Amino acid sequence: MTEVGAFWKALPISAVGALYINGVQRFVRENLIVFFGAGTGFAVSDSLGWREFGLGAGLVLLTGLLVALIYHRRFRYRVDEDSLRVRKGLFEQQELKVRFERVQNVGFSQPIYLRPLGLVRVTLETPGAAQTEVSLPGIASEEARTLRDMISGAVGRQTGAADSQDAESGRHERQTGPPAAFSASAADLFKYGMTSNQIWILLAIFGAPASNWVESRVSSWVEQLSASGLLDMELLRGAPLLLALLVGLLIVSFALLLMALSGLLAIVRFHDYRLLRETDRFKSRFGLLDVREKSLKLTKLHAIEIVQTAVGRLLGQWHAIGHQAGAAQLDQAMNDDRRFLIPGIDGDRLEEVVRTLRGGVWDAPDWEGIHPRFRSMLWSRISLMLVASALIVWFMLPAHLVWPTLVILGLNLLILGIVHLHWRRWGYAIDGQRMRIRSGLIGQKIVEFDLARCQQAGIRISPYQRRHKLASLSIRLPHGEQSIPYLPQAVADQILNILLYRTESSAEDGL
Amino acid sequence: MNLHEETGFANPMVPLDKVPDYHAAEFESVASSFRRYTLISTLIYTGPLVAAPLVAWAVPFVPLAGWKSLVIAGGLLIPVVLVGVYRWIDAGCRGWALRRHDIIARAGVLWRNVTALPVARIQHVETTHGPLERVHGLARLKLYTAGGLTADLVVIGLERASADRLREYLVEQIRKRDAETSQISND
Repeated sequence: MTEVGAFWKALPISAVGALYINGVQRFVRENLIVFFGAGTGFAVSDSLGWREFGLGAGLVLLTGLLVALIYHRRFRYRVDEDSLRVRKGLFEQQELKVRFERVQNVGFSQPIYLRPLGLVRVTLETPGAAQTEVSLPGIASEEARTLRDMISGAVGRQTGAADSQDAESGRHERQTGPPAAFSASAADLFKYGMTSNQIWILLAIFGAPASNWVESRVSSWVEQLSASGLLDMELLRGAPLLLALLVGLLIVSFALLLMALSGLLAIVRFHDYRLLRETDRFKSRFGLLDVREKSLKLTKLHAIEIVQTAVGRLLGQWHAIGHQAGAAQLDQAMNDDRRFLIPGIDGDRLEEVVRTLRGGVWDAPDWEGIHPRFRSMLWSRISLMLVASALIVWFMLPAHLVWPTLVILGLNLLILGIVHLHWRRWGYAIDGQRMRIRSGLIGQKIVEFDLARCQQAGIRISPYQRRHKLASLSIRLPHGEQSIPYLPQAVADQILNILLYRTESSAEDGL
Repeated sequence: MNLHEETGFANPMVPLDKVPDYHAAEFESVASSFRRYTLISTLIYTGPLVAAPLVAWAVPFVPLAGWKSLVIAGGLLIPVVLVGVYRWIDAGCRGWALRRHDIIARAGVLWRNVTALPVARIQHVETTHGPLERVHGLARLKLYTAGGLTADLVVIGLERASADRLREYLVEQIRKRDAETSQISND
């Protein structure tokens, strides 16, 4: 407690730039869709020229600077013996206090613009809602390390496992640190980016507004092409199969382009990913533009999730997530920074990584499947619906065209196949202490968790399930809900009983 | 007890025959006035639906002939009655049980569910009662676990007294547990 005195301090003046960039970034990110709309409006409308655009942008940037200055002026933090207090707020003043022993993680992040200034952003994560998270947007890295050492000291004292080594280890990992337990090469990260599902989420968000633009573009291209005589439109019109092939080719190449883009993004985001094992925690460092450091305490780790997406299966790629307690369910969709993600694990190294994470051998369990009625129920209901609609289509269409009916029936067969794959993927394995649940379709996701960390458990029985003595089990864990459908009722009951027994006979608190 | 083996690995056998079965818990059914309460609340919420066409009949400038409004009201009465019957049966299916280490609630007529919440995971307990529930001497118990924004388990149809007793008991358990854990961490 030498450098960090107990008085209110302002952020260094060099942090204003950081606050500014940070604020603009967040503003843009939160209003991305508005920007998109505005951009389209701008492009469409003739009365708005570049001058108006520049004026508007300048105004926004200037306001941002003003806001950043005021924010900096009003931001004060104070490090006490056992807690950190932060006062901030533009219009209303907010005071937050975090006791060190409540802190689960100290996250460091150093975006590229902070590097020359020697500043880092520090985030203190506490179990509980994400809004209560406290962050210092830019303090000197020396001070940040002192703060972290104080916090880990406090947490160590609290759990009765203080270790002096930990205080030292944070200093210069990059130069002298311990060897990484896992590191991902650029190729691994590229593959991870290609396989991760984020591009499809992006596509879903921007697909609709982008499609208008693409449509107008494509039609003008087609006109140009036909005008230039490179492509004979009449020929295409005569050959629908060729046209379909062309369109299909376009779609595939577009998807490949997106995947490559996503791969590049992953390289930037997770550049030089290194997973380090320290005495009581894991630590990861990564990032090209924004160097981040995250940690995960062994005692807080309550579930491990390993995922192979459908594309990942083709490339033999996995990624793993270490879950820790906290209400992270809400912000999991887009960029949940609270997850401890290990990207780009290829099949050969999976076992090693998982062994590191869980501290024991990852033995492939004998998966218990779910009841075949899961499959037959879906099969019969889906088929009934689709066959009925196929018949109606056949009956309603003039001249009783056959091919739409056949298309629907073909689709039906495809869905039946998918249902079968999905049913086959469901599996669970339970030893005395842990449970693993596997699900997926073409890819797979395996979650392993400590039975004693269950927050709540329940059994749901639909009328169909009741007739056949089946039940669905749902288990609420600190990071979210896991469920297994269509277990024999006796099995579901037994698992529920074991879960409760385990949870209640272990003395530890669930946090 | 941890997921990571090195920090706290113990793998005792689960004594399957000794693990208590939740079916063995004695489920308490809802308070006797709960059925009357559901009927009245159904009437209050859906009654205006049926009454509206009849009122429209009485209003002179609404062009709705008498027999038409009667038909509409009659048509609306059917779902209202069905809802009432469903909720009447539903009241009979509800139940809750308090064991030493957990609280279990069951509900559902066709889609049944049983939810068990370990007492060790409860962070916060509250009882609430609306005006109609108050008239019938009823209350509902809301249980919150860590991290959740909404109640994780809501038991409805409790008698006021037993809801309050339950709340007091659970709060006492939470207090004891917190005292224990802080004692452990202070050692």
